[in-house]
Amino acid sequence: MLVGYVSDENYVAIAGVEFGFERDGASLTATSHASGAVFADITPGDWRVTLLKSGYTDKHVDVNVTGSELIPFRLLSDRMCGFMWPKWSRSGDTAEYCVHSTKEFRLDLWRYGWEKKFVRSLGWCDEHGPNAMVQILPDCDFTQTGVNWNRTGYNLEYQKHNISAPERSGLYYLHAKTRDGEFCSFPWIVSPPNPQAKIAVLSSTITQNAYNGFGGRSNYFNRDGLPNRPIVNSRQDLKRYTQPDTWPFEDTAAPLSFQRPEPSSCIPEDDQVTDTIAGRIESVFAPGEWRLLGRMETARVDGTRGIRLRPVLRNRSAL
Amino acid sequence: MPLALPVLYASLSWIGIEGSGTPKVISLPLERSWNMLVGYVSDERYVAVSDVLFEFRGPGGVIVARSSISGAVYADILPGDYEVVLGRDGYGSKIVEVQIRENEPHQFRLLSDCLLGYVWPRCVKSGERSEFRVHAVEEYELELRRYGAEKEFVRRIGTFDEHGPRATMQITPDGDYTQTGVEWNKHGYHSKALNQFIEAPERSGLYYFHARSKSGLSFTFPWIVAPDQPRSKVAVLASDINWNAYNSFGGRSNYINADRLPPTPIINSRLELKRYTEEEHRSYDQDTYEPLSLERPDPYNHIDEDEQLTDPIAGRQGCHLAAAEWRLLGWMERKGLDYDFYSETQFHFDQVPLDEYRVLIISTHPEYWSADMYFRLKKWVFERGGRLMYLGGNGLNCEVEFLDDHSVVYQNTNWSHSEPQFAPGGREYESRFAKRQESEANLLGVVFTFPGIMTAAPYQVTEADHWCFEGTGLKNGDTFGQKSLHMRVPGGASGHETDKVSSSSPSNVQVLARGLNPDGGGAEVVIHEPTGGGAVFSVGSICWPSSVLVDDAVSRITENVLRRFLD
Repeated sequence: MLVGYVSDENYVAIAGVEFGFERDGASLTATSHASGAVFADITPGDWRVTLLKSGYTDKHVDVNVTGSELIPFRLLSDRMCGFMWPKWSRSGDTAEYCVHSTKEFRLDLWRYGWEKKFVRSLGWCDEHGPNAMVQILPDCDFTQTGVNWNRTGYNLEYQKHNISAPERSGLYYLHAKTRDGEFCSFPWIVSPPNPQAKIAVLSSTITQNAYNGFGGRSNYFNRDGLPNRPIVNSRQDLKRYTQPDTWPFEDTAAPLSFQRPEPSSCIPEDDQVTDTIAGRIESVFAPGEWRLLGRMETARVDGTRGIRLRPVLRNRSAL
Repeated sequence: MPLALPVLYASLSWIGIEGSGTPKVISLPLERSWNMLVGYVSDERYVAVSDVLFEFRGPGGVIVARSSISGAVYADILPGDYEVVLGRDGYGSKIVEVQIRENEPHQFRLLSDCLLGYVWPRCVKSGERSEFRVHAVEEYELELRRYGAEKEFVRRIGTFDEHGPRATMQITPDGDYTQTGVEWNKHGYHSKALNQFIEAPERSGLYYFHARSKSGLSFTFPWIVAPDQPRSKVAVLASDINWNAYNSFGGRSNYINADRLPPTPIINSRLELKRYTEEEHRSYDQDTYEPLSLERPDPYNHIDEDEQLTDPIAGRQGCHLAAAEWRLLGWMERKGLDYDFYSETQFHFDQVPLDEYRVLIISTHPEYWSADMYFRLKKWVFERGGRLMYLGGNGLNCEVEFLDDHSVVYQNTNWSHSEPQFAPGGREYESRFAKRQESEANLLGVVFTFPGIMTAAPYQVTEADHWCFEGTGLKNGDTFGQKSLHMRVPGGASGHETDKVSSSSPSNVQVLARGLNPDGGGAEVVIHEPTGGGAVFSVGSICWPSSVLVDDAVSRITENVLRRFLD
């Protein structure tokens, strides 16, 4: 029986994933094909399924195998990434850092103005259980629902990852770094509780979300929803390339959740505000906006060296 | 065992493609068709290892099998005695004798290819010998350093390799070796010429072995060297019983699988460990707990080679284990304050001649103590004029019992830190130690409570006229202890876990300062002086030793108390 397909966070098919199906003491194994297809000699019903492949987060899930509805199994690769949730806060409000890492990491808060200014360290993050700082991807099109990180196995109240937004408005970044040097950074927009300047700057979060392909969709490919099968080769599978002159490729658009990591917002640890912006799409994201903010602060555009960021929060359906 | 044996393949199946192109599982006919769950295979973290190849050598021949995704090993064999060979890339292969029984899955264990080590005994007196036990799959160098005011190079121990392939690789025993110890250097280390014993240096202190492999891996591990006889009037105890409580090597600590290993290895921690899956998780929900052996490598006590005394403490665990304790020792040496160094374990086994000392210092996170230790110390303070400096938090909170020289039972009782616990008469227990013995506040003046956990803040002075504040310039209401090297919970000297005065504290306890942690969670700095010349000074915070090198007030207060206690 074709049970489903397995893909990574980019909806790219993963071959060679080991599957274990268990029910009532019976156990069967299978291995995913080059297309990510999972065939197993099982009957319909409820199964505990364990997925394992080196380089990805192992997990188990309870599924109802029907034979007619294919299960979109998802595995998260070991690459460190993270995001703040919410991605924007008012000064004094709390937000939660959601980081995926296979190793303990140090987390620091920085403010990105003309210079990267260290604000404070949030300490070293790890847990007693083996590999307990890895996150789990839901088996679905989470580009629509959000990744729901920090929701499975985060029951201990004092270990919730909430932090309070600093007093000063601005573009903040969280820096996560492991002992062996793996690094990722992700933005946090902090607006003032009350206007502090005569100029308001908007971060283009809605546009950034439109371009964020984490999960396998953005407003520029798979706009109406994930296809039935994961991608093997973009140029062969995506309508963006197979039907290049018909954009937007679909008449309808499914929602895109803000609650996803945004790899294109990562700014390398050593990048400075006057450096050229690395990457093709980063200029559209926070790395590009940071250059404007930095210039405003050094030019004292508002006379106080402080600016106010006020992101506009639109209903997701507006996308 | 003859080399050429008939081979039967167990669990033979593969996916074949039939005419329609639809994959289908095809099973091969076997001479025998039963398939028995022989056991599970896991690594040193008790994480399931798939694709491990097994050979079961028995009277009927050789059966081969392969572990499944959950680490389960199914094989087409009958119960009985087997020689089992197992191996997988990235792990050390091994051969074990196993009695296979139905319905009693065997726990096979493999050790991953990495660099690890420990020294045994971990705590000795000057002149005594210990054996270093290192796991490496390539040649490695070993050096000894003393961690005081600096990382002082003591000597190069040598370069280690052996003629046999991967012969410096260790073997972990099957089963739950968190209880029994890993027993490294047990197999194939018989040659006296190649023994790995080393004599403890003359000078007491915290020593570290530095192992470095040819490919650049590094691992460091501590060695506690006590004096052969007292040399100072101050004794400092390393909290090695607490180190062991947190050490999860083998898949158990006092924080995961505290009572015993579960029957099957872990696949994903957040989905399986009770610590993460239970909505209302009680830290300890059993009445009995299997022991945790001291004889295990302790990766949490690794200190990076380039980390220096005044650097922020790297890593989450170092902030309350040996790395933090080193900060206090280094500070003492920089201040010219002599000390003799012992472990808690040595104190338990009555190897610390208390009456030869004027001051005993316990620090950082001495959470687990035996009743013998507690009452011996209490008598020394209350009856023989001993002076105790408790420079830590969540101290003496739970009783331990030693079964032998390395097996420690952590008597957690059925306990939750975050909910009140009551005795049958309605009296509230203040701690796990109180539930079995008495509240540690009777001795320390303070006891751990849940508010303030995982926060850090400065202290605020409440009794500025007290002699401990001499030279600080602090007045009532002033704050101190803003600076800290504690990187797990940055924010100040009062934090991580904090203790406060309770109804069990001595009536003459005096609160000198209080942490500004949220929800009334600030640690209380207290002093009480029983009649007879004894005294106890407590700071009630794990973060205190991480501030002593970088915060002038914390340094001055600590020095004031120590010098006064030595008078």
